[in-house]
Amino acid sequence: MSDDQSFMNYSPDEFESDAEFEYEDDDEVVEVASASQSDDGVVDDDYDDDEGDGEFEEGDYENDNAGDASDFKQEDTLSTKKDLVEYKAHSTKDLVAKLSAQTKNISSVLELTDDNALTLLQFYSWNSERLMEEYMDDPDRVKTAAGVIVDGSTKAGSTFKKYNKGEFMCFICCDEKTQTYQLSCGDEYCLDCYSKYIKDKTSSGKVIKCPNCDVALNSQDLDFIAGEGESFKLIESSIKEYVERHRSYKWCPSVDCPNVVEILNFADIPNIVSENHVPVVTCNHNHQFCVSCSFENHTPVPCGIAKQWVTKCKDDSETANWIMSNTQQCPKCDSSIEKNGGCNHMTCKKCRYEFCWICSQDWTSHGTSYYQCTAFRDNPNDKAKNKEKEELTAKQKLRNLTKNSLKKYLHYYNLYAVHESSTKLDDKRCKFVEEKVRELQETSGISWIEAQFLVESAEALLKARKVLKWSYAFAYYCDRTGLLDIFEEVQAKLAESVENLSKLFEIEDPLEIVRNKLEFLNKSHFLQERQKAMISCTLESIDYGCLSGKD
Amino acid sequence: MTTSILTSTLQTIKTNWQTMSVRQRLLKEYRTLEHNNLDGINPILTENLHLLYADIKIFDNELYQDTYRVKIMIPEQYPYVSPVVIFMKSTEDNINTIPIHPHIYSNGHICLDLLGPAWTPIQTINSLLISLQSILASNSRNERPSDDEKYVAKAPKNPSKTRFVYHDETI
Repeated sequence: MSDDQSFMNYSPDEFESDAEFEYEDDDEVVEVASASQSDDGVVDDDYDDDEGDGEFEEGDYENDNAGDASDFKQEDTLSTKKDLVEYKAHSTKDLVAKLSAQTKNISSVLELTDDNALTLLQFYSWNSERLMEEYMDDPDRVKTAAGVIVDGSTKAGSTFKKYNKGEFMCFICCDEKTQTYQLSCGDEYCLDCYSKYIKDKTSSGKVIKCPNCDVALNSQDLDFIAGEGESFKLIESSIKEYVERHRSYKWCPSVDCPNVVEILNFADIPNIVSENHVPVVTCNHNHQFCVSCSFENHTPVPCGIAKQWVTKCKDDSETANWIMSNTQQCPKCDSSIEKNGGCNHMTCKKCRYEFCWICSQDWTSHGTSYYQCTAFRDNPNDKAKNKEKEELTAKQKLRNLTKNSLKKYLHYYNLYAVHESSTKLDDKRCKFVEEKVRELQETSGISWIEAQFLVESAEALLKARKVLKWSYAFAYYCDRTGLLDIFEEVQAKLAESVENLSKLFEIEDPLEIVRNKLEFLNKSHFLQERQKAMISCTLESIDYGCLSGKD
Repeated sequence: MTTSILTSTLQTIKTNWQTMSVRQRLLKEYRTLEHNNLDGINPILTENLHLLYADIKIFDNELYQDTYRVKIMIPEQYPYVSPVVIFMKSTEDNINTIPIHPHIYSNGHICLDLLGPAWTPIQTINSLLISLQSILASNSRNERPSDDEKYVAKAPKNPSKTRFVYHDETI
């Protein structure tokens, strides 16, 4: 079967004719459909809905199912691939609750006060198993190491003291102070110094100890010295520690997003990635990101390629490439010179050296043959010159090569960058429009449910644009074959519908927006279908080995 | 000479109470530094209250025959934040090397927990210098850190920006 035919599955016409598609005549297409179906056997097991056994034979397709039904079945499967990652989204509050539950658990098992249990857990970086184990072994040693006062010791608790002027000099600030705080270890410092010391340490999420010895400050000490809520701040930063310690927890990488995602099948992530699926999760604030890369959702591009692309874009090497392919160094002072027109008689602006662009030699040797390099014709039999010429052509070839690859890169990068900035604009625009509609809701009594179409369309738009954006990175790493032509056609159609929907969001008048509700719904539904087509087309391309990953 | 600097600094103190505590603390520390006359440690104060040098001599260790100079920069948040300490190459006669030590990088940066998370406000410049002297005196390994080249190649100018991992308990 030829590759091109198999791709007819995703030809843009399919969606134009709204899935009125006839498979019956075309055996080969069906074969592909069933082939890719069995590739995703894992998915089928879990997410099968109506097909039952998940085993398809060609015959089944032709006889029982209408072409379009099987087609959509396949796309449903593809779209549920992101569900391969089983996860739970947590907010910071959830985690605080989780940590206090863990503290309560420890305090009851080890018969400690909550305060002491908290200190011990913080000291053990929330590794309760290790804490339990070592505590059972030698409770006193664990307590002393963490700075928890051992029961039955003669030392008194913490005290707040007041002095008259001149009676107490704080060791830290070397100043006479009237208010001090003393821990059970007997070390005493002024309140100001203590408070500064604590505020500096709170962000670490670790146990805060007396500046002079190992005694830990408990939450009462913290709240008394640095003000109500300080101990809570410490617990909050403990979360950071907790998440970093547990590899199955991931911070949402979006800017300022405080949410965490817990991955339930963490061990499967490498498998998911190696099968070129993107393990995408959604945090409580509706940010989608890839668990493996801790980066935005880069569907349909596999993780490895996405990483390659991002580093490439960040890397200055492209600048270097540009300099290499477009400039030459002045033979005398080595400054980079770009020739942007004119003849080959160059004069370096820096050192005023005159040379020939072609042979990089002193211009005076060119004598009277103005504006033409005859350096090679002078002595055609001269071996040294010939060698030089060979070297030069090799250099030229390399330059051309870099020039071409740079051109290719810039082409795709520009497309990628345009959609990246458009995503931001879309986001702004969508929020603006939503705000408008909210106003309208209040003034003209449109129900909340009626206005939801706008939120959904905005989401669809942002998602589709992201897929589109990444498809350009994908295309950069693809070999140029017939498949890529089809890929690009699908891509163009996706781009078109993205722009169409984006345009709808430019309507300012809220009443007009509501009037266009059907349009919004149609366009976003259409866009979602196109997006699915794009994703499945990408996956097919990978299956057929088009993705070379080479620059 | 150093005393005259001290008195002149004392005179120029403006009663800015926010930085007052830093000044007061530093002046007290400088006074003790001068009075203590620690063996092998020679502090060199400058006009700048937040910058000083110290020459360190090591006894009874043949690895360290020279005198070594450290530059000590005191941050505004001192003493809640540790000073920044770097071994330096000086142009002066016999001070031209950075001591070879498994925790001292060839650019002078020091991997010492006291300069990072283990710092507490009750530490002083005095105690810091003694610690430095002792990590040199107790060392017998004539080598640089294993990742020296890698670190020096892209180390930030300010070592406090580096997050060292303090894994070696032996020295």
